[in-house]
Amino acid sequence: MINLTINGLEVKAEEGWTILETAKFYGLEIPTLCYNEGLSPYGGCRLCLVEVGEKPNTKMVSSCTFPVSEGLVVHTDTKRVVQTRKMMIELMLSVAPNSKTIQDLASKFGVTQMRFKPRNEECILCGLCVRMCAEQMDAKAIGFQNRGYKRKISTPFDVRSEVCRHCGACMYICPACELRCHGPNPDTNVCNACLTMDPTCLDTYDELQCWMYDAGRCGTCVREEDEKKEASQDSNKK
Amino acid sequence: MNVETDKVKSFIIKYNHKKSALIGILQEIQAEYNYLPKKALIFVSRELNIPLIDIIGVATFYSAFSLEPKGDHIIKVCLGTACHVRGGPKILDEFQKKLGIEPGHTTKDMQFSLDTVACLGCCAIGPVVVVDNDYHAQTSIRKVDSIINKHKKKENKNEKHK
Amino acid sequence: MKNTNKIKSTSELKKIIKKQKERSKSDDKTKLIVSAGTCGQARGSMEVIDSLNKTIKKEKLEDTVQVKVTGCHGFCEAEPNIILQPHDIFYQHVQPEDAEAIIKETAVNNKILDRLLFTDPASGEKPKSEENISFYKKQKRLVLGDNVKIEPTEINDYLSIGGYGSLAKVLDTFSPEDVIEIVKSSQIRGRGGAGFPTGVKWGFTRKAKGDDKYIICNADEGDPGAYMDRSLMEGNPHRVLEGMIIGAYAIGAHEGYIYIREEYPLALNNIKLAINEAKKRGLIGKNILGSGFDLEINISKGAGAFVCGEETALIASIEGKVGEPRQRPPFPAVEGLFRKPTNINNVETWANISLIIDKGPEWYSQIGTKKSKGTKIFSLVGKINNTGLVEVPMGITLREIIFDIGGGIPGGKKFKAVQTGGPSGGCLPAEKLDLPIDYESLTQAGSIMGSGGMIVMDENTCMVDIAKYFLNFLRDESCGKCLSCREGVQRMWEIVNKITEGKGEEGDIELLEELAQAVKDASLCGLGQTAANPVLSTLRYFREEYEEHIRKKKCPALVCKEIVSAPCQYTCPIDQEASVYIALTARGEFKKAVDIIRKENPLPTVLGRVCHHPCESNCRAGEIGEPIAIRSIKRFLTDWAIENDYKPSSETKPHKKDYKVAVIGAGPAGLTAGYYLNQKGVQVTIFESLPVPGGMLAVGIPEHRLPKDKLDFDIQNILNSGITLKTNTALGKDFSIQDLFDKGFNAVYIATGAHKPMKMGIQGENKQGVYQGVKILRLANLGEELPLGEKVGIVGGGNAAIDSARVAVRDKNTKKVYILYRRTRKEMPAYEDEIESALEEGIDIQYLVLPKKVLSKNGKVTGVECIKMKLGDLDESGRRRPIPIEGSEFTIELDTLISAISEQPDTSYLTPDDNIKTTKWDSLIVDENTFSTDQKGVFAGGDAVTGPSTVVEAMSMGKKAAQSIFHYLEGKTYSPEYKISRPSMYVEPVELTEEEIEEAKRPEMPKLSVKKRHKNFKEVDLGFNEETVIKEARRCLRCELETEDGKKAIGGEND
Repeated sequence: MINLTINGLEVKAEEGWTILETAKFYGLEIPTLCYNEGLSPYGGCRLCLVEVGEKPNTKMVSSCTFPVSEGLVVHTDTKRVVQTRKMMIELMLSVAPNSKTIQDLASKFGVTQMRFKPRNEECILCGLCVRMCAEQMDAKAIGFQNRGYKRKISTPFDVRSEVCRHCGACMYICPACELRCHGPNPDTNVCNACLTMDPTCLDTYDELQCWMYDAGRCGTCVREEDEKKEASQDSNKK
Repeated sequence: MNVETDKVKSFIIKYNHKKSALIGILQEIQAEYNYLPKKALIFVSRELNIPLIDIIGVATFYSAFSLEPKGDHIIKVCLGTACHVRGGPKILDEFQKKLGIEPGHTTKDMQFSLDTVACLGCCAIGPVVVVDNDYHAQTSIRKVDSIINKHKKKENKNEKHK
Repeated sequence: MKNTNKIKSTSELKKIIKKQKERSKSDDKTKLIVSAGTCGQARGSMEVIDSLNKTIKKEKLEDTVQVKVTGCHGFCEAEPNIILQPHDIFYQHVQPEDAEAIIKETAVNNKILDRLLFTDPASGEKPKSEENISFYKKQKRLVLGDNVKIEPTEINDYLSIGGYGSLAKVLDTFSPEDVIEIVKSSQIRGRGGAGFPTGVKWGFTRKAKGDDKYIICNADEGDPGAYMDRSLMEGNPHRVLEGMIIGAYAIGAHEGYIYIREEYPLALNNIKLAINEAKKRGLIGKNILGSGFDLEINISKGAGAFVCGEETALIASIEGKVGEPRQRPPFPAVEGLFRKPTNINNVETWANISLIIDKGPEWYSQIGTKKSKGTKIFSLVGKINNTGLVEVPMGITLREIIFDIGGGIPGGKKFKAVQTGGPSGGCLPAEKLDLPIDYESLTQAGSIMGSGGMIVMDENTCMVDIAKYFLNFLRDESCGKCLSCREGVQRMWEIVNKITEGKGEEGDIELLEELAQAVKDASLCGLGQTAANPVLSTLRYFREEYEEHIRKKKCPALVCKEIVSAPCQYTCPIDQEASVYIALTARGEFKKAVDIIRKENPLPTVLGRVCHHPCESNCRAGEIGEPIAIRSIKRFLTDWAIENDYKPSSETKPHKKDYKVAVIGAGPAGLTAGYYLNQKGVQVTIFESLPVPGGMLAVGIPEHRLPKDKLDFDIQNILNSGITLKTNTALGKDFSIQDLFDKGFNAVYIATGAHKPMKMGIQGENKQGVYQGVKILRLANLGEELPLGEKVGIVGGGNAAIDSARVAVRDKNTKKVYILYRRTRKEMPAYEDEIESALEEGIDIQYLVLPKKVLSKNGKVTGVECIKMKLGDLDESGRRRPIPIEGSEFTIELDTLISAISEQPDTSYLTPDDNIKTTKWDSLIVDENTFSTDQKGVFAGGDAVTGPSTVVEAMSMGKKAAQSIFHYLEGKTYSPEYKISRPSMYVEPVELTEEEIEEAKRPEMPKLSVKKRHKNFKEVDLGFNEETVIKEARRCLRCELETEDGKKAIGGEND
């Protein structure tokens, strides 16, 4: 076992664990985006940054790729971590301002402005789809191409790949090209209505009645209620 | 362009079919054809048993490779820092004007490709322009025409020989 | 004869080294050592070599003269260069046609060819040998020095200087652990950038578990502006190999890689040859020198990716993968190439190893500073006189490198910054010049050592543009994996790009700083972590330059295209749209052109003759040839308007206001302020102490430059617009400022100029026959008798001095006129064409002469005692300081001495009640934006505020003051508005034929013959004719069309 401290807490980790795995094991939350338990860690989105080492010689590392070592000192919520994380979210948001995942992250971490010109792309190059395709689907149909600001994810020669089986796993795992929320706010504002809104269904269903057993958290009640009304109208007609 | 798989195969053999020699093999192909033909890449993928997408990743990552055919002469304008402060960008502008193409592109007659390069390490004699392997030191906007013509003329001569 | 057998033992190697040393000692041939690195070859050294060899053959000197083809000698500025041994002569810029002279005269007859010697830009001296050249004097060429001694393709040459001796020593006497200890105690640190102790690094890899270990030589020299590694590999590849073999032995590696940039074909070739040669001789391969130690060295060619300089990316690249850096730990020392322990060092580090073994770690660690040992090679490039590779001990100051070794900045320009460390480094300003260079001091100053690129920048370099340049480089060279680097650098580039386009906003700098910090903190590898350095360091030292771009829409270095548009318009203090009236002139539309001129200029006929034309000084055509003759075009147009009676349109003025403003002084500032106030409907009265209006234009500039009728034309146009002029009315004598307010004036504008001459401060200055230049000029202009004798001397080097001299030479009494100036013609502030005219007219200009004492007899001047001067070191302004030569006093006989050094404002008219403050030079103090003095309602401008300046500067102040005064009258606060400089209209460019472009040349101004100028004041410059002026206007490059707006405007018309 390896001994280390996270946020002052003395913890033990298995040899080969990353900081993120250790923190998760102890129930300490570190936000992630390009990380997925079923895939190899990538360290591209820089959201899971933590500060390691002792002052003044600390540095920031991505916890999903950084291996634990004996005596390592980790802080997951220093001012520096929080500020940098916010900037990462702001950058992501400016690339794909319509992604609900990123909007939720923005709301959660108090990113209320977007000072960069939105680019409205549908990809933040987190590489989840690339790893999904290669590691889980064993297809290797898509991959990163080019470098720097011209980097993109595509198939060879940008045409249908011979090895693609149309499984849709890439779409499934994508945090940016999923169903998007088109809020009423101007481009540069961050809509966080989804998070502050009270669950709308509680008046209609209680814990027991909810067929998802999740009391409104799924967000489907609004439609459920409407459908119910429609249904009753329909039955009245009959 | 006609890609002979034998030729590509010979490169692969030269590097003992080593997967780690991918970049070296691609460099040979690039040198042979002035670009990386699709057919050659697919062939390398099969021979080395490397997924095509990984080869494409490498081929697009390094600036030495091109997936588009290049012109007969490749003009590289150095935009290293020293050349930058000595007016490299103006020279590039002039080439763009004269050739009517942006950097990274090739003229319609396939005579010239225009590229920029980060630093050729000839900072003392900048701004530097390299056409194929011909170094032009301390270039100025005024020399752009003669640089283009020099290589154009060569082309004409060759044709006469033919 | 050549021995190519395998060397089987260290003792055999030692014997061979000894033999080779003797061979080279006993070789008494004359050597012509030609530098033929990439730079040398690009400048034609191969042709020179060819020509030398042919000559040797022709002269049948094969047995006595030999050409040696070596790598780079470091002094790139002098390429191609030749060192002659044993003559010890350094020839520079050698051409193939020099070959015969070099061989016949120098090599055979020992005659030095003066024309091929290097001329020191600072001292003007011509040193004969390499070590006497200032460029080499302060260097300590431990590593680079051998480049001149050996042919890189010849292993025996390397052996003859003791090469591979260190390897023999190591294999004979040291265990691997000993070697690591030696390297540790030498305290050498990695030369690739970060400066990690090399010995410690080796120790890690040695200790790492596993039998298969690798060493790598990082020759992916990607920093733009650095090429020392290239030079070493081209010029001395065996030295790099020797270091690697020793390192591999110490670490326990049996396979090594040299990862070399594809962009270095010659280096690649030479290192390949060296490896083959070393293999043949048993220095690489199985059982090296019988020691049982095996090592193979392979070459891996980079494919063009800057990020591969980062060690984990480099490893990935050797493995045939995309060059993406990965998380460390595990460090390469534990898990590197093919997941085996790997040690990576930079070329220069490897090249130092044999030296440390040979001379001992104690010797090595004596060189340098406490924490940074040894020497470092820097590539000194950019705006510097002596470009080249310099090797200096750590701890030397930037000033020593740039000014002593580098010889300062070319063209007398001012040093602005030096960029070190490549894209990861930073820009250091002049105040850091005395910084001793080592790893720590550079980091503290906000830059890094990096691989040693040192790019010097002068005043013509825009620091925001430099930041943009590096960001543009990095946004492409980032591997793109980390969001922080890929997206962060791109966004920084976008912001900086916006600023350089003049679209910057408040808050941009703060956002840049915040983002830069995040990019630095959040990125995985060295590239990302340092990507913000160019921005942060330029913000740290040149923040005001960013602010100028954002707030004032100005680029002081005239670099940012979108801001500057056409430099002629941009640099014009009164916003004359030169490019527009030139374009109209090219189309023959003179009326429209005149309208454009008059729009912003109430004294156009005057400025067409006497303006100091910053437009021409900054004209882009001047960069590739000669600037457009803008002033002469203007002169033609304004004269054309007079001849063709094309009067300014009497514009409908706004409704007359009740405001009354008093302008004191009818010089260019006062006239312009009055004109623009009047245009706004204000009632203006101008008070002038002299009998004529015009100020210095009327009494300071002689008629042969500015004819009275032309001046009067402009002034009358101004006055005719409804301004009242009162001449012979002086402030302080005839009225006070309070009087003006009492009389109902609402505001006062003081523009009394600078007419008071400064004294020379030498003995005998009050003697009869000593006059002030301003006085002589005034008398001449008012048509009065001049008190000049036969021999007249004028002291000074400015326009007033030249004017005084040219007035004197026209006086009926004078026979000989001198100008005495303490520096040389190069430093003279007077206009070049004026100096030329003065010389034509027979004026004797004595340079490097300083008057010390006025000699007199009976109170009358009889002569002046002078001392000769010489130019010393460069001062901060980039000019060389004049120093008196002791004992060089001499006398010039004179009967009149005119002092024309400088003038200052005369503000003796002020009373304490006026509540107007002055500087110690007696100039008036005003608010820099509103031109208001401390006294409410009193404004000031022109030379009275700035001291002696130019006509157009004074007009610019008058123009701006008019704005401010009008705001004041309306009861509004005034703050100047800043807009990007753009022309008011875009004129379709004319089509030029190929021939026209080829032949286009700036025409010479036709002048009155010297004979016709004799003793009269006829205008000397005759002006262009219509044909010439159109031809010249067609030569304009039309810079304003290069902006986005310009492109759009012209493109739009075509549609």
